[in-house]
Amino acid sequence: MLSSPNILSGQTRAASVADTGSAPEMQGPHVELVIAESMVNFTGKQRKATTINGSIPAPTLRFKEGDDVTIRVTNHLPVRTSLHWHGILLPYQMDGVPGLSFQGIDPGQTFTYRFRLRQSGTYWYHSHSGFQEMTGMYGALIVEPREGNPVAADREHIVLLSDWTDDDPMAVFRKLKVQGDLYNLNQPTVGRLLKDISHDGVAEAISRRQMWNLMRMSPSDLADLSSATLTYLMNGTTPAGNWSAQFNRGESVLLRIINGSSNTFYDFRIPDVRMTVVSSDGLPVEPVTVDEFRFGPGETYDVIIKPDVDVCTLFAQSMDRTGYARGTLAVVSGLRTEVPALDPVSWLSMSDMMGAMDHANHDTHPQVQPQTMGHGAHGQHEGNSMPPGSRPGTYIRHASSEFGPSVDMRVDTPRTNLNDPGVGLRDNGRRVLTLADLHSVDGTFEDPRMPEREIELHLTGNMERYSWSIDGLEFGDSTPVSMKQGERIRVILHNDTMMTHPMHLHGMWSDLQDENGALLVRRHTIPVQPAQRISFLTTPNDLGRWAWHCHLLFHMDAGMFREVVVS
Amino acid sequence: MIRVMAFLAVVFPATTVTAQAHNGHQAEQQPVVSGTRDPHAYSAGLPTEDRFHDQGHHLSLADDHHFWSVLSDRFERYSGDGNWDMDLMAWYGETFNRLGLTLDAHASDEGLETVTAQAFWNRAQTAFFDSQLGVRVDRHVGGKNRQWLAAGFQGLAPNWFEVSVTAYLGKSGDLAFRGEGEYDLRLSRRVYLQPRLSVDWYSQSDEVNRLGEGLAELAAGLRLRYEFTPRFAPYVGVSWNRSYGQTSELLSRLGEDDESSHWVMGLRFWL
Repeated sequence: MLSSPNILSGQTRAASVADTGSAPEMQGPHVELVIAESMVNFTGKQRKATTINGSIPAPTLRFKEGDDVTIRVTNHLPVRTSLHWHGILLPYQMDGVPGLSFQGIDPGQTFTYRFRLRQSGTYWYHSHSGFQEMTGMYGALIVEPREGNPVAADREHIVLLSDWTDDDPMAVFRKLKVQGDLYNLNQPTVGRLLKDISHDGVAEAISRRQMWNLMRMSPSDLADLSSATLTYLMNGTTPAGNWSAQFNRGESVLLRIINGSSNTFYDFRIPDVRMTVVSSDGLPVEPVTVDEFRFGPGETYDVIIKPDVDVCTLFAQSMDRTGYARGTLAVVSGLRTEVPALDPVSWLSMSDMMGAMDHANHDTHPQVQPQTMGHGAHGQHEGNSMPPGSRPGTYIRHASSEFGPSVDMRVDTPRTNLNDPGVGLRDNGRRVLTLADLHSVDGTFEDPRMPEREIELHLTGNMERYSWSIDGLEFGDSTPVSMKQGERIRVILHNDTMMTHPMHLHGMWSDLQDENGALLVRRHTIPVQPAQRISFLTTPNDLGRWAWHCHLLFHMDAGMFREVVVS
Repeated sequence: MIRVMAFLAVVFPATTVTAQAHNGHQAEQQPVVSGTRDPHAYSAGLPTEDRFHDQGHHLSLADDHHFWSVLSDRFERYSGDGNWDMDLMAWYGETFNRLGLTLDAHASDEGLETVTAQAFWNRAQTAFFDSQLGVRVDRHVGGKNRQWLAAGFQGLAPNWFEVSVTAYLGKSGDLAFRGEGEYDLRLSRRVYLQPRLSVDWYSQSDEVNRLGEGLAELAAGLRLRYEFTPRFAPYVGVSWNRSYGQTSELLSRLGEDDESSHWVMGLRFWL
């Protein structure tokens, strides 16, 4: 590879300084993008980033529904690259996943993406090669509806959240392989134990810890990476940099909020301002007014606000409460207001560990059932493969490959309710969005059929070994999930870990169902909470090879990834 | 070995967690466990191997990568005299199979006294335990060097105890056994107290190397460390060890103490 002259031309172009802050906007349908190395400085240290047209975030691409777009992408990096159009339905060769859609874009080469936009809304795009996304390759992708704008707002702003590390992402990943809790800053301490004892008594304080210690799990394991290595960004701007934008008093403002981070779940709110959620993952939903929502990498929400203040803070704290991204909306530039304190750190609850402890059922007793590894202990039941009905199947079938070293826990009593905002947001006094609040507008679900079959996959991992997998098999040991074009499938995702995984299925929609089988909302990325078992329906209409993975970048690269073949 | 691993699987399995529901009508709708399934059942016969590998369409993620680390649990000097102890470990490999190297050395003012080097194939057997197969070489300055075959396991027991147990087979059919355990008590985010215990046992006396049959040495330590980062943590502590049985008699014949304790200062780090 080193003999390629293209690498040299790539290198000579490197080392310009990246533009950060609000991204430049490019109108379709024809766009030219150049990927190169640029220097950035988010923390006081100069670092090399990979950028698209020299900016972080990358240019906002604005297209129109129905357009045939052409996007020419030229690679000036010394390594292969790619761009993936997150949430966009298109021919699989245009999906931008190296190794599945195409081979990637070689150094010095130009690849032309061509596809017709069959949808509208707020989306984003990012590199799907290695950890390039984490070093700056992400941008907003807005598709205007063909006819009119269904969202009545006087003004709009894009809020693209991301995260940055000064370290080399692969070095960070290696360190997690050495010590999985390296960046977990809020672990239980003796000091905390003494405080709990004086507050709640010995028995209560001990029992809170007993199960975690027995299981060798950390109740504060809310994020693999924390502010110990990450700087949280809003539109490419650090909290100190305070990204700012303007509005006029009395205006309604549409915020297109995108989580384009590599590994961070954000809890987003605007103190003193209520948000009406009008679309999720690009598609319109019945408006629901909330104070706060949590979203993971890959998810997007459109909200409308009508601030009756002159200035407000956009506040996005990381789920593990070690830091935040923030920005300011004000009627005149330069105004700023208070930034709220981080919420207190919450430990994962018993329901995050064991699932079905719904709120009506407080006297539930936890039980740990050690299981032996001998295969004789697990009969292969084939008797449950009855055709799926209108409700998601209730027979839990762990994969036989979940009983080895790749899996540190299995949940036998998962929770199926969708109305839990998640750890750290429960009973916080604010109205927090949950999946149960989301209802796609009429006409979204065009396929009324019942599912013909059910695919059950378990999200698995081992934090001590820093291994992430599906059904206990990392990607390299897995086989593809085969689907037939046009068939109606129910997918059950059963989370056998204590982390929330934003599961992104390329090439087709994920129509989330509630526990009774009613269709709720159409998504491209579905967050599955710890010990939760959720189901969605999908109809693969586009042939080809698609990716299906956790959008926490490190989980994806560790192996929580499947190929889907639609034939 | 298989028996040991089966034992481990029973004693230290991954946990399955369940909540026992009390009210019946709720339980009716709750999903229940019903056997296991084949993780490849949805593949319609498509193989694991990348079918497009030769076309350059190959997707390889970090589960195919190899990683490495060098760790020092103890790298310490005794206060008041020129004795040093070091306990180094390195590994290279992917997640479930690794080459492991360890180096334990003791030095005094006059230089190295004993070095134990081991090389292992570490294989993940259960969620928290690895099996270890390999070789051990002992170098005794002023004594005789020894070689051993080694087999054992290491891992994390419930309640966060780091445990390692290894059995050795020497050239002349003699056996040895080494067990180690330690625990990290997190006093605060940066301050840790680490109690530690190790035992050495030999089936035959090795007088030239001052080792007697039976329990040769019991060592205990208590170290208080400050983690500037988890990767760089200086500590102070106390180390105590005592010989028993024939080793103890051997040492007293040589006019040496069979028990010693000293303050130590050292550094725990990893790369």
